[in-house]
Amino acid sequence: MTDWTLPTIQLERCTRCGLCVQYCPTRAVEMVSQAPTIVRPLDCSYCGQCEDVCPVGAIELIYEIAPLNPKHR
Amino acid sequence: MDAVPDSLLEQLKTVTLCAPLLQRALQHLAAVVKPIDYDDGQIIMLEGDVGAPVFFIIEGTVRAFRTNLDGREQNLIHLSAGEAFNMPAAFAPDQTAPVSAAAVGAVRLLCITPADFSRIVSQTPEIALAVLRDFSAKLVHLTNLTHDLSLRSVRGRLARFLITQARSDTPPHWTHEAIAAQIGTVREVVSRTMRAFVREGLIEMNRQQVVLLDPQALERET
Repeated sequence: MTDWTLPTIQLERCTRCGLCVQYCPTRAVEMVSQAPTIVRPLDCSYCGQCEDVCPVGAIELIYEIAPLNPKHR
Repeated sequence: MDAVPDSLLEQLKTVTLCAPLLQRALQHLAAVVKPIDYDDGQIIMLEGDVGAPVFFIIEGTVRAFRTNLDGREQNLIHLSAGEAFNMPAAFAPDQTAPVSAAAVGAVRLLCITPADFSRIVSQTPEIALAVLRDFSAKLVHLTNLTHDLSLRSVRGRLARFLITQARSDTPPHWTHEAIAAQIGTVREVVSRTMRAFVREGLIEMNRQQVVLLDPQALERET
């Protein structure tokens, strides 16, 4: 597993609104010491719901765009 | 003239603009440039800065961008090692910096005051021609960007972005926010459009990876 396989949460941007906890379909994220934390990383399906609902853009999912098959280049 | 370190001369030789310079001219230039290093994400120059120097990129990538009052960013160009930026400062001294610039990864720059750069350009026709070539390339790039932002839909811009990235040999990693800054929209619209592409079978989003399932259909969107 590389270091970017989970959503990154920028706590300095986070307003602690809790929407990511509320909307996570697998309950992978919880508030720990008043900060959203991915407490069950294996349950995170990388669906992007938390990123979508975050009102301040504090959660980011990183993607690689897979190279095209050479016949399509 | 004080002796200048050989390493500085070697670094200057990697700058495209300086390639035509003879050793003596390079030494003159080396005497007036200053090396400066930046870490990933550090701001090099802010839009509106007065008297910002001209920069030569020795290592790394620099992102030039504009920001609106809400903090939304629009990337204008990514510049790599060997390129120069903020050269207009040397020819329009009353003009404030038109863009902000930030380091992408670790960056090493050489900077030179606009007055020194202007003097060297006026004394060296080969550099003057190289500056004109650089300005011409940037004019074409910005004209194409203007076309994209004003005449292409977000779907078209995103499709084009995905195809361009998938064709590159070393695809970098992207967040929806970074894609938004690249194609002139906001994160939410990128997320929504990506989901639409998934529903339509144009792309597949695996964990951490966007796979283009139907590149021809994406081409038609652009």
